[in-house]
Amino acid sequence: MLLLRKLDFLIILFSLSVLTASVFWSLPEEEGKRRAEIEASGEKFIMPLSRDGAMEFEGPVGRTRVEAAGGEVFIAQSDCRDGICVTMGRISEPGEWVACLPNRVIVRVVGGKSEEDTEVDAGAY
Amino acid sequence: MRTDRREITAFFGALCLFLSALEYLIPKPLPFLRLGLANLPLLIGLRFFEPADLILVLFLKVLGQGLMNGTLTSYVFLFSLTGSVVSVFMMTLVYRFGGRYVSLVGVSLSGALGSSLAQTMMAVLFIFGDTARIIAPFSIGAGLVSGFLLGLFAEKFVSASGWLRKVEKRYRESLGKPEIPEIPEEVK
Repeated sequence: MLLLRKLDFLIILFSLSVLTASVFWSLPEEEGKRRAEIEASGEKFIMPLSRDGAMEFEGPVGRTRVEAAGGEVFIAQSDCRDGICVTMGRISEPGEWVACLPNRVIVRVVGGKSEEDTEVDAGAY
Repeated sequence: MRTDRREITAFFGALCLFLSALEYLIPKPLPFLRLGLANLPLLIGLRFFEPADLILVLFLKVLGQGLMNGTLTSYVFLFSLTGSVVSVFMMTLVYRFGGRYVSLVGVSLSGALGSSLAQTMMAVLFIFGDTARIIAPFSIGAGLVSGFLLGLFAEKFVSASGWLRKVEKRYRESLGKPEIPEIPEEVK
């Protein structure tokens, strides 16, 4: 095209490369093994679900104990008033979460999907 | 006459307002798929406006868009403001340094690129968090397409419009420098 000049092509090229870079940038990260991500008092902790274990966190209202057992994670005990976090029960699927808001502890499951998750379920079907 | 300068600046601001209204009529399938018609006055004004007036038009445009879309008092306004400021900065930079090697297509593209990058960064860093990365290619891609089309139109318009010649002449006369500055030799 007559309209376009030298530098235009350079800018077009540059724009397209930025666009391509943004595509790669937007791709979700490597999923990795399934794990629990725990946010407590502004810090981030990671707890594997592949083995049993427990972690304790100090928060504004006391201690919160997060336990992993049999591939599930749950809040076993917390010094909060209502104990909603404990009654929220056990979680194991990516995207699920339990939290103790008074004590600022948030537990989320992230990482690879299990075998049955990748199949079409009744709802999707 | 000094009033000419004021008048023309205000007129370009008003043009932005009008084009925002026009754009509001066009349905948007997704919020970030916008044409950016309101950038047109900035694009064609780039060649003759003094920096102070260009910045004035820029703020009038952001204000007008905010009014038209009803986002003036919401956080969306911050996106609009950031995007527009970065975009005008980029366009001025490219236009000044590119000289005769660059057409308004390149100028518009770099403005669109700057604007959508700034807005994406803002979304990721301050407002929506990391998940906003997912829309990055869409928002940048849409920005580039509309930036390209707008630049193409602006280039055609600038080279064909007699009205713009007259406006430019009046503006320059009101500044007291009626000569259209030549591109200096060393740019070649």
